[in-house]
Amino acid sequence: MGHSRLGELPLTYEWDDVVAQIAGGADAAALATAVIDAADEAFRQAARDAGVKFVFHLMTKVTLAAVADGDFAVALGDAGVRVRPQPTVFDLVGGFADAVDDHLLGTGDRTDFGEMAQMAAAESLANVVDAGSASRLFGTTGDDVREAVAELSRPSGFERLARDFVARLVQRFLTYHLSRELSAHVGPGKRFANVDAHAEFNRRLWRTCEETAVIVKDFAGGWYAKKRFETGITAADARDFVCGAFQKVRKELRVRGGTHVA
Amino acid sequence: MSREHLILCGPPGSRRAPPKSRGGGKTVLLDVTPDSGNLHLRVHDITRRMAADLPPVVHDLVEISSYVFGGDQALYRGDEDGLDYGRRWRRRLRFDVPVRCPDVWRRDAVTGELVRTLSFLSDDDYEFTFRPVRKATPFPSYLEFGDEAAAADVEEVMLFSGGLDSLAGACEEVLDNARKVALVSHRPVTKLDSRQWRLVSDLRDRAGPTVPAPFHVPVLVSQRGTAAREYTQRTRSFLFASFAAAVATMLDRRRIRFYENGVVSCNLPICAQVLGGRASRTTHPRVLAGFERLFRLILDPSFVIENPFLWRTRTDIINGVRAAGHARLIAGSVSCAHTIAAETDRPHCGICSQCVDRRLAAMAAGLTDLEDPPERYRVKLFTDRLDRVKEQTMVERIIGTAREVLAIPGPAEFLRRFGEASRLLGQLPGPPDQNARKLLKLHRDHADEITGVVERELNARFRVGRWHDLPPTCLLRMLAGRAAEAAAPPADGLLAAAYPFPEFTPDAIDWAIIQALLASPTTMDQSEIEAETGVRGNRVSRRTIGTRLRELRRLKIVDRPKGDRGGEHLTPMGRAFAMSKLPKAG
Repeated sequence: MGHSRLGELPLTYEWDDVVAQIAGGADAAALATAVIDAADEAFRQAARDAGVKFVFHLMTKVTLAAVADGDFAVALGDAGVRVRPQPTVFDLVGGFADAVDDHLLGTGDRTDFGEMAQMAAAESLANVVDAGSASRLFGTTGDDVREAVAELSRPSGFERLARDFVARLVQRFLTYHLSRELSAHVGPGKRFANVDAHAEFNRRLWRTCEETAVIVKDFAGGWYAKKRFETGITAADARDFVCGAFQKVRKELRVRGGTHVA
Repeated sequence: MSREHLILCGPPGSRRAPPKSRGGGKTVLLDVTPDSGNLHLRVHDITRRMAADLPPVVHDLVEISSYVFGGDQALYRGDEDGLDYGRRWRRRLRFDVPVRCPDVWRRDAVTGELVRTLSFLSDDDYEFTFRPVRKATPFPSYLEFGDEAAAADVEEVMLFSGGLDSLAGACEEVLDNARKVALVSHRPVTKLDSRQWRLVSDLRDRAGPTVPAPFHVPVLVSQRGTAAREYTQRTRSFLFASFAAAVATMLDRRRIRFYENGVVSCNLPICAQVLGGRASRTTHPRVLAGFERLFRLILDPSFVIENPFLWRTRTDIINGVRAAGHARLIAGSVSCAHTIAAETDRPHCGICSQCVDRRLAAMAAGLTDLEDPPERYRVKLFTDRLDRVKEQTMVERIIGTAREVLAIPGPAEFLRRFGEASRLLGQLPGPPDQNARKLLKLHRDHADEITGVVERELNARFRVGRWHDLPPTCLLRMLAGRAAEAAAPPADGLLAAAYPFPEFTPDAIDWAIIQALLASPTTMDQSEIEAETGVRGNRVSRRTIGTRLRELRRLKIVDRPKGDRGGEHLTPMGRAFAMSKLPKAG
């Protein structure tokens, strides 16, 4: 690997508490709550971030491109996502990444929150679209990918995408902070006996994020159906969804963290 | 939005009145004028014939890349410990540059490509204003002329940093393929400079009389009169590529080559805090593609930039060097990121990502101690203590990430795990599906090599069956976990039973804090500890106290019995530990 720039958690009471909870064996849900509490203002900023909103809005446009009249690649291009004809999952994800990068280059709105959202969206699209198109027996064609994306334009499909995206974004937010400290708790006499134990904790944290994001799934389908068919999904709608999702996630994490206090 | 910084370029008389900076950032003045400017630019061993009739746009490219690099070094990005979510990391840079060919640089396609590629390379926002130069510095003013014969018949121009990968590339081109190669080097500090010279000299010796000797072109760009404020130097590869492209143009070549293994080129993040350009993008495929597009616009439409090692791991590269009989040269190469702190006999810090990757690759390839001497690393990767959280994070995550990669079944799952890979897919030759498969294979091979080394080291230590002589914060003990604890024989008495860190040796700062707490019957807050350390004649700053207290709490020597704001106190274990370590009376 090339050079990687690493940091540590600030020396404040809030973060000292998080460190103490890590050392004390707090479970994933409790630590998630502790991080959200310590980084509360940052979590609120992330909800209002221009890059986060753009990424989410672009994801909705991708789903609608699959059910637009005409060629899927052309419709994606109209949405700002340039791909080859008959795009595969990899074309789609690569084109999505380029579209976000180009947009944020133009607006100058690049932040760490936007970066987290962009990565979460790339991973989500790869996950949900691939799962949808991989069920075919004899390999995946461009039409299979379009059908899989079209499925996401139905409320039930969009719920899955929204849940997966929010889960990954929340996980990224949490681990952005926790990764500055967790490795210091690996080794003899420490919270994590070894590297494998650390990996197991990361899996549990992911499950916490997945379970928490169910709260978003419940309202995403209804929101999508209403906005899509009534007014079309605007940038302001995307902003409102993101803000609402973050609020619900914060509440849900605190409930989960509270019931899991060690 | 972060503050905008103005970088005004050119000699003092030529700069226009500085426009108002938007957002209250700094104004940096840079001038490459030989002898009087504050940015020293020197290219060695160019011949007069090479420099003759050089297109002015090439002069511009050399100066622009120097100004970009100078601005990068002049503007501090902060560190990562303050959690400002990238506000200081990402800078807004507005350059005002005098050029000989404003019509070329002002074209939308050219400025657009320059901005797009540099923004991705360094994670900054760029804006350029190009204006006609009033009095251009003649290009030969930057040159130290060399022997005409040395530059004759060059077939290939490659970047040569003196690191392991570029050395391997030079071995392949010069020694194995017997080609006449121009090696373009950047000389950031004199320590690195002498190592580069020695490597080139070794290559020439090995080439002998029948193989064309390489033609070395060292380039120096450094601040004059002031020290650089920012050490990350993310724009260095733009500087490097620009000078190499200039040399290629002088030699009537249309191609330059970087040699870097694919894992380092892609540099996927090892953990979630490493976002965007925090993982360096020196030879990222998107960056090289951007340089190529730029050079095609300004130099020649057929210009090409290649990385022949893109699909190889570092271990593959080492195996190639050894198979060709050149492994003894590897000891002279240096991969460490911390060039300023390098020691002559121990040039590798041992714990930056480049050192860790190099050492693991060397062990995976089975290099002997002569070929990659362990004593040239200041920290021994598996057995030395890792005191700082960042060091522990670096090594633990490199191993942890490798283990995760091995569990990834296919390219789609690879993309699900590494969203950053989405930025690679469209930048590589061939269809994205094929690139995804190749990326997975490359990273799996690399992960396999790393975990192979780890298993061998662990097995060897388990056979020895002795762990207590290793520091608890060393990588081997982090990997072995409870199995190592079970194998460790008990140390002395109750203390060992009660306290799991008999090997912890407080330094003077730890002792000052522990003694302050030992003397107090109640909890102390950090300001009280600071005052007490001052009374004892070894005052420790509050920031240092905060850092050390966090570590002492991790070790369970200190706790906060009254909650976060109730002050610090020695734990019973901590008190027993402190009493056992105090010098006995009489």
